Amino acid sequence: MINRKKAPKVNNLFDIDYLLPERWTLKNGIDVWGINAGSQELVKIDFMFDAGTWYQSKNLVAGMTNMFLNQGTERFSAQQIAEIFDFRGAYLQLSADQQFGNVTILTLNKYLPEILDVTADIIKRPVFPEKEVKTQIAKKRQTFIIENNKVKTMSQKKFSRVLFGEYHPYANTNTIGDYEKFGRADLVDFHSRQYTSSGCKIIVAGLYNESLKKWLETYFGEDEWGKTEASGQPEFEIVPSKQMEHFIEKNDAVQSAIRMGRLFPNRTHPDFFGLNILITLLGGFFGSRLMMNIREDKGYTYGIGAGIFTLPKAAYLSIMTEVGAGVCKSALDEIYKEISKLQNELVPAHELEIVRNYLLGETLRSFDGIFAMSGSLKTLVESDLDYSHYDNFVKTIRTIRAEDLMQLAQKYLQKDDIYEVVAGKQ
Amino acid sequence: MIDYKKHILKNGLRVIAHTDRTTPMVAINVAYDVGSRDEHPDKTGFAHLFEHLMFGGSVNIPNYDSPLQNVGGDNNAFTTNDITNYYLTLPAQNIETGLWLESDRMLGLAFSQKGLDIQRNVVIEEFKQRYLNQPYGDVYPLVKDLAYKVHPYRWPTIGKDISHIEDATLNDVKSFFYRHYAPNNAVLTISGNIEADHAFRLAEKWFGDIPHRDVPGRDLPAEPLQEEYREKDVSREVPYHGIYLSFHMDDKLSPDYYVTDLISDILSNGQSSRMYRNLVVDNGLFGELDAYISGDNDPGLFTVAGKLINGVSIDEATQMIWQELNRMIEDRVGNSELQKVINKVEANLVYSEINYLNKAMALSAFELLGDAALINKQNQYYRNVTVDKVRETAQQLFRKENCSTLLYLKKRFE
Repeated sequence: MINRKKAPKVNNLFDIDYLLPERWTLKNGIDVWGINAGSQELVKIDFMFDAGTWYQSKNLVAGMTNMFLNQGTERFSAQQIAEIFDFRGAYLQLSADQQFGNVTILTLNKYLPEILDVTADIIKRPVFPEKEVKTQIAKKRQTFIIENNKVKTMSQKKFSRVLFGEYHPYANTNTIGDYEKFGRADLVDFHSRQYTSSGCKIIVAGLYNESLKKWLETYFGEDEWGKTEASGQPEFEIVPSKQMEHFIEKNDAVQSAIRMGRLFPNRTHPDFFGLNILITLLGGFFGSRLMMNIREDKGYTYGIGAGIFTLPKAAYLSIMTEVGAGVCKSALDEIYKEISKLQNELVPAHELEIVRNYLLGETLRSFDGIFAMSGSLKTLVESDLDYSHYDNFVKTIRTIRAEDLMQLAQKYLQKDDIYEVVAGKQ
Repeated sequence: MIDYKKHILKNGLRVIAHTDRTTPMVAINVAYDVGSRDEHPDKTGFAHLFEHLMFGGSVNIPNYDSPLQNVGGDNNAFTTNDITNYYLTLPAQNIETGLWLESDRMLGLAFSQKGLDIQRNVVIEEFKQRYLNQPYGDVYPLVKDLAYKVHPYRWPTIGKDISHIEDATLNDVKSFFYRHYAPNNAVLTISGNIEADHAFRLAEKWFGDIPHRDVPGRDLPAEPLQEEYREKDVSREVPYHGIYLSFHMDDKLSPDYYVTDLISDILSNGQSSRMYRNLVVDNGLFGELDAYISGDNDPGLFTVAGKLINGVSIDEATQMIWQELNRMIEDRVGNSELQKVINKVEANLVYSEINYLNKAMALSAFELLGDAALINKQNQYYRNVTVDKVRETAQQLFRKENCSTLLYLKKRFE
């Protein structure tokens, strides 16, 4: 008979055995990182460009330029591009964030040459045809309005402006009016300056061989493309709001969305890893203090979380939830109570042990499978870090003490430093 | 091709094992053969409420999550119309912790009034977050209610009415557990970095002594053939008119299921698809337009969902959708157009095989549907679809009297 009251033995053998990428450079200087792994005959390739909102001079231009890359090129119409991908079951994903414009493809290896051929055209020679651009803008405008009417989006946008100020590219200041303020010329100009070989980085993950290298060289590496003169790195000043509490009214809301947080040290700061562990303990997993209190004890919400969001040039803490409109005040009080507990009481040993092991498991998961491996590598490439970053994180997870966490809470989680944004019913 | 082994324990628990050495982890997936379709019409939302209660501690273990997190594990669960599925992943060397936790909650739960009270609130907040506090949030319950009159698919998984959740008693919950949670009503799949025989030995060790329970057979009322066109309109404070056309389709074991899936792909999967090209790009009538199948085990729904560009009339938009549907019947789909969607499905199957957890979930779901072996027959079913078959199925599907239309009209918007 097994004893069900007793937990099986815990085997703490979390050695993180990650596969280091191979690295090479194309003739024109583009850096390529490759993770050759997996068991399926497929590859995922990320093309990254300095083409996020950081580099735009009008709202929406970075995002729209990226989104329209596949709407027609010198050789292919939007319809033909879509056919080429769809017929081969390949995916093209376009995305732009604050710092980077990304073009990502996922394809079976047998279609790689054709997919790379059209992808090269999409990146180097998009034509931004008026008609397709107009349709897509109408579509995007529609999605924008729908999204903008959610309390979650309202609080998120306001929170980013409160943290970074109205003129910083990390703040989301998009308005519906912005959809009329740019035209095709803006996209053409942004594309020629930012989608260039000198600003391009490539990450490959999957099963590949020498022919992939040859094709990358052929389609992307032969000569320089895009404007060759350096477009420069613009600089912006972060101007956080002076007012700590913000409220956006939406009278028909049945739930209120809460965002709380502040600017935090970046990935390279010595406190970064410790803070990561602290915030995991506060709200980073199902067993976190906030989940246990606000969901599992009070039942105020379906979910609550806290996390550190890192961007290449800044990082911030965000505590996020949507709670019943009637219990918003109580939820806020409970969040502050949990924060002050972290500042005044040492984390019990068994709880710290759980957080350590949970985070080690998560780290293992972040290198599990080619998509996860390529995501973890991309994080490093974005911030210009190497794998010692993850080694150091694992070291901190294993060694941090309850006293360290309390000190970090005292240093970084002072109530007076925390912004509070609520969208919903008063 | 996914290699797996299957073994049935004496208590009726079906165990499936799949080895994937590319990961240091294992996944444990337990699928119970109970979904919202098994609920009483006056007590809807129970299967899902129950899923929440499964995390509130079991007979021998006060807390489910902490021991799992303590060995680097992570978990979640979901409830559909058809099944309730629990899954976790953890480093392979700690697999026994996962099996200990899963087997104990199959053995019995630590039912408590406080646990029930809290999870009722959590589910009510989930109800609000998903259905009430989002523009277009109540479309899905409205569509189901219009299309089904008899079959339990007529209510959504979260429940027909918040009051059903509010009124749930501890006794209701207990009797639900013993009716549906039993080794003989579940499939355990273990995948990842483990040998099949080892997985079977461990399954026997942890699940072998859980008693077989009497599970009442499923006897659901079949939805009668719809004989009349249905239409309903509601007005809401949303920015755009929405149109939802739903058609009754075949069950998941029918070959026509795969044909219908491909029809939805031909119409709207990807930027080269017909409806997208014609009605979104060329005519500019819709901001969003999709066709999809509900994916249910019993006969489900094929739905076309669109949000209109402002200024376009409901009549014109509806008519244009019908024109596209009728083209599926009147003109033969081109060979290469059909080949395209088949290729896409095949590629997607390869992509989905990267992940050991996906494979565990799919194996469990197919086993509950009838046979895990179906997982390796998908490709062939899709390949068997012909141009003529597409036309015949479209003919069956897109009849006016088989259609339920929801017009979701914008009231006012600021």
